[in-house]
Amino acid sequence: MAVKTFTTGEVLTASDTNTYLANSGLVYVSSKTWTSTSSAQQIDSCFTSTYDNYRIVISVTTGSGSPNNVYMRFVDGTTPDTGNVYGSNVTTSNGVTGLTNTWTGIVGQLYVGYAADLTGFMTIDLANPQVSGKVTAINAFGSGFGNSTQLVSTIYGLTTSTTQYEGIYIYPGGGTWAGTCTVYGNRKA
Amino acid sequence: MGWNLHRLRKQKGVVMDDRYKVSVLNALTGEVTERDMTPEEIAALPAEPLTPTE
Repeated sequence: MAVKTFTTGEVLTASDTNTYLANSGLVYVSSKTWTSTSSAQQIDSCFTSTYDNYRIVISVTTGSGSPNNVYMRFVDGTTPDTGNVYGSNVTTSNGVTGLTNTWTGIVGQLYVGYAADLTGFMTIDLANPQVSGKVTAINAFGSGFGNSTQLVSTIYGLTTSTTQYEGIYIYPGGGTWAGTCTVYGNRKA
Repeated sequence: MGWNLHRLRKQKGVVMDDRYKVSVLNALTGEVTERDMTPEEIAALPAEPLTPTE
């Protein structure tokens, strides 16, 4: 639903512009930037009742060598849920051999993409992390390009838990990484 | 908990580095803090990478 419909010749005012900026389809929630480290990164209180669905964009500007997996867990309170409640259906290409299809089973983390020495980039759409009584679902695209190898994946995943999560926790499977993680909410109306 | 964490690291024979730390941003307040991983988090670190065989 449009916030306002303009007519021919109508002046676009500062007020209207600000209204549009504040009510775009994707609304900025929070962002975290980190310099080179092997530490996990966590954003608390980014999921609230304001939105049902979210987009998370992770840009890894510096990684370590060949693509390392990037994993995600959801945060319940102040610590991540480490239980075996995550499943990922992953289709991966290294640009050389055929596609590899993997179902992880229900394990302790989601796969969301890669960190590598040239770049790692992930866009993750997320359904219902904070909605009562519903499992959380993700659709993600992830790419990692190193100096000598590359991996790209499409990932569809879920939690088997209906816990109302309030944050995310991400970490590389190995090596160091630097980058930015930004969370947007999908405006409901 | 700190003692258990130290013991777990020692058992695993790993160097105490920032792989076992978590940098935390509170989206509501903007405050950034750091904490050590819990033993449960360390124990749950994935062992096998999910990569295609070349």
